[in-house]
Amino acid sequence: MIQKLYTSAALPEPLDLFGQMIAQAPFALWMADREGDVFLFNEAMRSLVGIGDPDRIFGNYNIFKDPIATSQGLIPYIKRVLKGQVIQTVVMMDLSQEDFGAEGDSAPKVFYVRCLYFPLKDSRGEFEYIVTMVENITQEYLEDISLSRTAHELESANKDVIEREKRIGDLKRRQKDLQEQLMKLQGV
Amino acid sequence: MTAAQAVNLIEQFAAQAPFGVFITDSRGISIFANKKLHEMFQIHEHPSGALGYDVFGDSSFEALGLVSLAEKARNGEQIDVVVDIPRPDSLGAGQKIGRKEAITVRITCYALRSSAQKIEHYVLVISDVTETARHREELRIQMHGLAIYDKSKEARLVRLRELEDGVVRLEKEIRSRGAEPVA
Repeated sequence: MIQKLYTSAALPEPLDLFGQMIAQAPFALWMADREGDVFLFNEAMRSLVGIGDPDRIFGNYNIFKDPIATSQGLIPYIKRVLKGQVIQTVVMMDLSQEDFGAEGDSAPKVFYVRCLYFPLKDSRGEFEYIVTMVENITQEYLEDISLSRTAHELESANKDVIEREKRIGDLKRRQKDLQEQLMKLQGV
Repeated sequence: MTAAQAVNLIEQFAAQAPFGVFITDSRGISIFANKKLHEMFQIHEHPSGALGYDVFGDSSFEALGLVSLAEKARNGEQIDVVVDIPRPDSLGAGQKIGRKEAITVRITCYALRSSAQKIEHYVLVISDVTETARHREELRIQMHGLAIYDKSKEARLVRLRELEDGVVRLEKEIRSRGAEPVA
C-alpha cells in the first residue's frame, strides 16, 4: 500500500521520487514554516502521534506552541534551527497533553522519542523551514536507563568490596595475633 | 504554502538533510546521493561521485557480515542496522571513497513501491553514529569490569565471615584458658 503524504497544498499526483521517499519512509516527520505552522507530515508521523483529520494540524498546530515542547523548555532550542543549527533531543511524549483527533486509538499515550530538528533553506538560501523527525526510542531509552542504573549500583557495590577487602586484611592480622597468643598459652 | 513550494521543499529535504541519503533504482544502482553522504565518506567528484554504485553487488558486504541483511533489503524488507566499517575506502570496488578512518553508521533501508507493489527504488538513510557507538562500547566494557567485581564481592563476603568466625573461636579459646585476648 502506498503511504500518503499530507500537505496543506495539494501536491501533483503521482508523487515524485522525493515525495515517495518521505511518504513511504519508516521515520516520522513533519515540516513547519518559520512561524512554526506545520504544512506537511507523513504517514509514519500520523501513525506515531495519532493524527485523525489532517486539518486538525494544518492551520491549527504550531511547533512553537506545542504543549510538550513548551513544558520541557525546548522552544528556545527549536528556534535555533532557524539560525542553521541541527538540534537533537530525547523527549518524553505524553500524548494525553495533545489532541490530534485520533479515533479509537489504543496505542500507548506515553513514550520516549528522539527528535531531530534541522533547517531547510529556501530558494534564496535563507533558513526558512524546520524539519522535525521523530523516532520512538522507548525500548532503547529504557535500556539505557537500566544500564546506567545498573552501572551506578555496581559502582556502589565496588565501594563495598574495597571496604570489605580492608576488613579482611584487619581480620587476618587479628587472627595471626590471636594464634600467636594461643600458641604461647599452650606453651608451643 | 503553494504546491510548487512544497514540491521544492520535498526535494530539498533529501539534499539538505544532516544525514546521508542514498537512493537507488530497482536494481540497487545508486541514482541519488546527497551532500552529507559525500562528506561522511569523503567521496570525490561531488555531487556525482556516489552515483552508479551497486548496493547489492558490493563484495565487501561479506566481510562486514551484511550479506543476509542485504538480501532481506533487496526483497523489500525494512532494515535498520548499525555497522562498523573499519575501512570505508574498501567499500564498493571501483568507487572513489576517500575515507580511510573507521566509521560506525546506522543504516535504515526501505523500498519504495509502486501502486502495484513493485519495488521501484531503495532508500538508504545513513547516520554517523561513531561517537555514540564508542560511548556505548566504553559503557559495556565498564559494565563488564564492574560485573566481575560484583561476582568477586560474594566470594569476599564468604571469606569475611570465615575470618570473623575464626577470630571469635580463637578469642573464646584464649578466654577458656583464663587469658584476655590481645587488643
